[in-house]
Amino acid sequence: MKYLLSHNSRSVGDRLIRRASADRRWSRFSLYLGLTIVGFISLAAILAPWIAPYGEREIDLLSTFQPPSFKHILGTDDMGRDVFSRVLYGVRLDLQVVLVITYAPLLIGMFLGAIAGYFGGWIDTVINRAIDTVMAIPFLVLVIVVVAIIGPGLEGVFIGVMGVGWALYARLARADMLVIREEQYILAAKGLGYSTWRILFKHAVPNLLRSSLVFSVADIVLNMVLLAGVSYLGLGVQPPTAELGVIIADGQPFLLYAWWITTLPGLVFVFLGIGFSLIGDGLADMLGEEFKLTV
Amino acid sequence: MILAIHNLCTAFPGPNGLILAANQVNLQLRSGVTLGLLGESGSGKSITCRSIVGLVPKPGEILNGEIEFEGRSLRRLDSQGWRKVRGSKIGMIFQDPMSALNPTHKIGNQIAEVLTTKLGIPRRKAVTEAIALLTKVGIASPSRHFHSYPHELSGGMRQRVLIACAIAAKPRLLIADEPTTALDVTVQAQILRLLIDLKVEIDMAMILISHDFGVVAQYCDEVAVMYAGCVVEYGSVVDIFENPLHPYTKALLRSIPKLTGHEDRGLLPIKGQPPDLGQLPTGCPFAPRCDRAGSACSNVDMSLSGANDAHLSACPF
Repeated sequence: MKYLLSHNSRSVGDRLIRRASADRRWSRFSLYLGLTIVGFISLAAILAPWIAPYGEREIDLLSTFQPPSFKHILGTDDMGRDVFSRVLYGVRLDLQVVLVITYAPLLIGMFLGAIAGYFGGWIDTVINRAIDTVMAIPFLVLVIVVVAIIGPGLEGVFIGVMGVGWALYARLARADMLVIREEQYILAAKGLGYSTWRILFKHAVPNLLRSSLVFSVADIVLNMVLLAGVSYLGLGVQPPTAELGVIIADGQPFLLYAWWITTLPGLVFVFLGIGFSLIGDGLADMLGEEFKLTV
Repeated sequence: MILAIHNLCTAFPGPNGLILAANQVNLQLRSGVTLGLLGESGSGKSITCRSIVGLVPKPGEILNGEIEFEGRSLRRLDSQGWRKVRGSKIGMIFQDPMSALNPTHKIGNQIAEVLTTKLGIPRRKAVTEAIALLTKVGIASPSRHFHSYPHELSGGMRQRVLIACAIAAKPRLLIADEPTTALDVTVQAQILRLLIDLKVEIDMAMILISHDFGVVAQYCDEVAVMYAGCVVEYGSVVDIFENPLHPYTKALLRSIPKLTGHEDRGLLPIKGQPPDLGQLPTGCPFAPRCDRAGSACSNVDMSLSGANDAHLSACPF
C-alpha cells in the first residue's frame, strides 16, 4: 500500500511537471513561430525597394493577368503590375501605418490612464468621462464621418483611430494603476522622498506596461483589419498606391479568371495576422507566467 | 533631541465618528538611541511612524500635535520640503520586503537611484557606491546581484536591499516598521543585528516597531509601549522589563510563555479583547481588561507621568 501510494504520487508529480513544461514549450513555440512569420514578412517589406523585381506602380499593358510564374511570382493584375512587388510595398505601408495607429494611442492612453488612476479625484473623473464618451463612438462610423468631412485618404484613418483608440489603453492603464498605487513599493518610493512625477513614471508606469503591451499585439491585428477594410471600401489608402486592402479590392472583379490577384495577397494578410496573434498569445502566456513567479 | 512628538493625534473617519489611531502620543528620541515601539496589532505603532514621515494612509489625517525633527516642525512642510527630509534625513523600512521593491527595476539601480536623486552623485559613481552598499548590507557577490531583479532574491535578501536603500543617503533617523515580521527567525536575528550595526556606524537614531518583546529587549535602548493609540508606558529597556509600571505592560510580560519553570503554568493571556478604536471607554482604554481597575479609571487622561523623567507611565495608580 505504502509503495502504491508513493508510486502513485510520484507519477502525479511527474505528470504535473510534464504538463507545466509542455505548456511553457507551447507558449514559447507560438511566440517564436509568430516572431518568425512576422519577422520574415516585415524584413521583406522593409527591403521592398531593393528586392521588389518591379516598381509599385509599374504598368505593363502587354502582360496583364499573367498567372504566377518565375517572371511574376504572384502573377500580374489587370494593368500588368507585378502582384508580388505590389504586395511588398503594400505590406510596407500597412505595417508603418498600423504601428503608428497602434502605438501612438498606446502612449496617449497609457499617459492619461496612468494620471487618472494615480491622482484620482477630479482628474480621474474628467478622464474617465472622456473614456466613456469615446468608447461609445463606433470606430468605423467615426472614420466614415471624418472621411466624409475631409475626403478619403490615410488622414481619416489616422484621425479616427487616434481619436478613439487611446480610450481602451487608458482604461487598461487606469485599472492597473488603481492597484499599483496602493503597492508597497510605491509607498517605499514615497518614503524615499522621490518627486511625484518620478514615482508616477519611473516606478508606477513600468508596472502597467505588461498588460498594455500584450493587448497592443492583439490591437495590431485589429488595426490591420481596420486599415485594410477601410481601404477596401475605398475610404482609406487610395489606388494606385499599393496597400493590401486596395490590392484585394482591385483584383476582386477578376476573381473568377485571375484568382491570384486577390487570393495570394489575401493569404499574405492572413499569415501576417496569424503571426501577430501567435506573438500575442505567446507573450501573454510567458508574461503571465513571470507575473505568477514575481508576485 | 533629534525627534520630539507632542500630543500627536491621527484619526480616521469611522462609521460612528472619528477613530483615533494615534491618541495624544508624546515621544522623544535622542540621536544615536534605538527606541522600540511595542504594541499589539492596531495599537497605533505604524500610524505613529507614518505620521512622522507624513505618509498617513488616506483617508486618515493628523488632527493635532507637533512633530519636531532636528528642531524643525515637520507638520508645516510642503511637498518640496518633504522631499528633502524623506529618504535623506529620515529613512523608512516597511514591513513586507516581498512587495516593497519595484519588480520592474534591477535592485542595484533602485539603490543607485537614491544616491543620484538624494545626494546628487553622478550615475557612474552611484553604481560603484550601490555595489559597496550591497556589500555593506551583506549581499554575497554584490556586483552580480546589482543586476538581479527583486523576484530573484529571497525575503531576507530583499530586506537587506531595502535597508541599503533606506540608509543610502545616511539619514539621521531610521524608522523600521516591523522589519522582520515576514522573515523567519534566523534571518530575523541577522537583519536586526545588521540594523543595529549600521545604526552605530552611521550614528543615527532608530525607531524599531515590533510586537515582539524579545526583539525589543535585545535590540532597543528605550521602549514605548502602546495600547489603543496611546503610549501607556515609556522608559529604558531595563526599567520596562525589570520594573514595569503600567498594568498593561505587566500583563504583557506575564503572558510571555516561559520554557523554564513549572510545567503546569500554562499561558497567562490578558483577558478580554483588544478594544474597538471606534468605541473607546472614557478614560483609560485598558480599564475593561485591567485587574486593578476601579471607578477612578474613567477619569484618567492618559498623560505620562512618573517619579523620574526617564520612566513614565499613563497609569496614575
